[in-house]
Amino acid sequence: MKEMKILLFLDRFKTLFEKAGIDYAVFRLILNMKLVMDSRRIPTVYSNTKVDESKEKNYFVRSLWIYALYGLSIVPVLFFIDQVFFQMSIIFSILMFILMTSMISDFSSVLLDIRDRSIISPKPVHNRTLSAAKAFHVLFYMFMLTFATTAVPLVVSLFVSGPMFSLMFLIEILLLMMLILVLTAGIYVLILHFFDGEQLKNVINYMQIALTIGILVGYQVVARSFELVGITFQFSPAWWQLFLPPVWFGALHEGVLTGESSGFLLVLAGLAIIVPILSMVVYIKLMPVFEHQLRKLAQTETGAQKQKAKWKKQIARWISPNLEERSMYHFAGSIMKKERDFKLKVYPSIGFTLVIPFIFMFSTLQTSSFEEFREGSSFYLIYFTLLLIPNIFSMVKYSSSYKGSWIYQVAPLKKRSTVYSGTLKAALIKLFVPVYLAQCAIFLWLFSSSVLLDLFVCLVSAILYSIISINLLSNNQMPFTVSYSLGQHQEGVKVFLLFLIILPLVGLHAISSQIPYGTEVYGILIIAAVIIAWKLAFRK
Amino acid sequence: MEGKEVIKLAGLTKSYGGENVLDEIHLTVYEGQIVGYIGPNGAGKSTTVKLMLGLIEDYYGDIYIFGENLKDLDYSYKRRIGYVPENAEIYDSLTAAEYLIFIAGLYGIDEEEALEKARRLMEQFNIEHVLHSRLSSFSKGMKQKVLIISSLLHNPDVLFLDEPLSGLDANSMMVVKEILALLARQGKTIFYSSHIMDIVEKISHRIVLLSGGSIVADGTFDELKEKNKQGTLEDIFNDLTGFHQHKEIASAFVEIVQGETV
Repeated sequence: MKEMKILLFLDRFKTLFEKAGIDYAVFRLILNMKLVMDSRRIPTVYSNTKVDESKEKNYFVRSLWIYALYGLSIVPVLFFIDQVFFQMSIIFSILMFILMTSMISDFSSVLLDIRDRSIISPKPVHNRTLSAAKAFHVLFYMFMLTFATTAVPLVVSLFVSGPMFSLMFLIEILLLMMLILVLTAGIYVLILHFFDGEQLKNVINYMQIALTIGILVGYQVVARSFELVGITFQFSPAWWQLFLPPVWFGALHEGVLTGESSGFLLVLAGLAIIVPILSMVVYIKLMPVFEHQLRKLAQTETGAQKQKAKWKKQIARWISPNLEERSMYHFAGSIMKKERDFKLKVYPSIGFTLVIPFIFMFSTLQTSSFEEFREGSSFYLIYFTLLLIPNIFSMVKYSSSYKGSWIYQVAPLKKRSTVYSGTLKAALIKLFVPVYLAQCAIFLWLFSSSVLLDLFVCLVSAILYSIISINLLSNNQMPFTVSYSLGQHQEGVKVFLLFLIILPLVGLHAISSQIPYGTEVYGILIIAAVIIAWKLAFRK
Repeated sequence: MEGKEVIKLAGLTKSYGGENVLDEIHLTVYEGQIVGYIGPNGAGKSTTVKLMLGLIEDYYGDIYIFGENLKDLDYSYKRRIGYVPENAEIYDSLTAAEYLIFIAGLYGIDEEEALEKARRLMEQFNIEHVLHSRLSSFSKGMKQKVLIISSLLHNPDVLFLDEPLSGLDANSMMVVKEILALLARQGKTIFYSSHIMDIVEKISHRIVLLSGGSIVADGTFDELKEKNKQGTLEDIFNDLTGFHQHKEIASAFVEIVQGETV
């Protein structure tokens, strides 16, 4: 097996690991194996061939540049905000958001992997060693990801604010990483403690949604810690800032660089150092508990057989008159609702899309009255819901039981496209529409029934958008036929492009509304576009 | 042939959700025995094995391995155990060589030694040409051979095998059966679970039949034959598990297949 370079670095800390009760040789072996596996192209059912090590690349590492792009969003903050405290609090809010969301969506599957249990546990390996290998596996990627995100801002800060600033920044980033790893694991330990079996898997998904919302709201709260006085942002201390990690880091930076030493600031700065280190120690001590609790994930209760509700069957019949397509609709729908890995990746973005419009509204409301707001064009924010669509369709080709895909080859399918159209309908009806309807209810309450037509037009656009997304993202691969791996950011670029497509959709809608009956005409046109696109996309 | 006690289950009980999967199991297995551990689906066979390997916890009663209570042992007792699970998970993006080296490493065997041993064992199984191919390209039988090798690399004293012959061709089956017999003669203990009755009948020194979480028969094949007045192990199995209606079920099944689809 190829040796990964990172291991040579870790070898220096061998004694440290051994002091922590970790069997270093075994730890190294497991970690290396995991990294080697990540660098291999996902095995498909029929492909074979000898391993060519020169061609092996880590797909995750290759997709890191997209994080560098995210990182650029921090650079303006470095230039345009002078107050160190405020600046750093904002930067760490952004960083925490990027890292925490990728942690819960991408790495949950690594942390919650139970395959290791069945292969490694019968062997003489201590739980602590296995957990440590898993933690470092995640930590390695987190480090790469953090580095990709912060490399540019770090270099920029060196020129803008000097070496001392950059050094502090770097140290704080490391502290933040520890904090995030422990926080994520801690949340899982807590959930795993209170729930078990099938129920648990659902709770984890809801937790993810809640967490995503929490981070977004938290970001707002951080901004409120500072008051605009004249042209400078003044920090206004309050007890709840004790619970905002970005403010801790801001305080630490302020404290070290400006020598400011009010009591409350020192407390906040102290938290930035003590909490991550302390939690890391607790984490290492509690790792066996975590592994132990993971066992619960492996247990599946044999649930009572549930009959599909009559009205659901009726909807399916109405939506998919074609029998082949309908069975695909049911099949895709149940996988989306039941497969844990799929949910781990997609459900957080549901939380995201649920909250984003309201966060924007919140900031509009701060500068205008509620009446002005109702009359205004804030209802176009509903288009943010469309962000969910590329997220779903970039994931549908993956499945943890991808080997079941032989069934596509064996089944006498008349048209390949029924598989895609059935999947598209399932994704829309089972995932998108419920979220959309929930949004609509709030929008109707906020903006009165005058926006009903606009909401309808947006829904039709969503269908058009889905057709484009599934075609662009499927890569000719049938749904649920590719194994998950960390390298799935290959779609990053396409998803990003798809996000941009939302802009002309909103634009056309907004322009048409300026003309009398424009929205009605635009509505008819977009329906026509959906029909034509559907026919073209699902021809054969 | 009673040698040293290797495994002893004393009143082993395991329940899931209030239902006893294993109910007061008492069983002692001695050195050099091949125990055919059989029973209908869901009788608790793999649960027993998983308990002994520490993969499942929270049981009542006691498990003694090599004379020591499992509750007092740390993980290192697993060094003396080899395990071939049914429907085994395998890291199939690794090559056979990498996988075997990895597994051997977990038992503390160094890389060169492991590779050399793996190569020679694969040669005996006639699959040395795929030593450096990905496991994902392997047929079921080839994968099974790799799993068997991986369970033996560290020369364990106890082997737990769950359907170890599945996917193997007739010739390889003969080889593996012979391997097991030789290993037992050297004093290794083999715990063999399978649904294929004539193989169990032939290779086992002792047959333990589990049904509904309890042991309903325990003895050599001849002893069982005597007691139950039946010709083959299959008949004894059907008899003891109270199953006689195979003909009726089969004909009902075929009728449904031929009938109109609903």
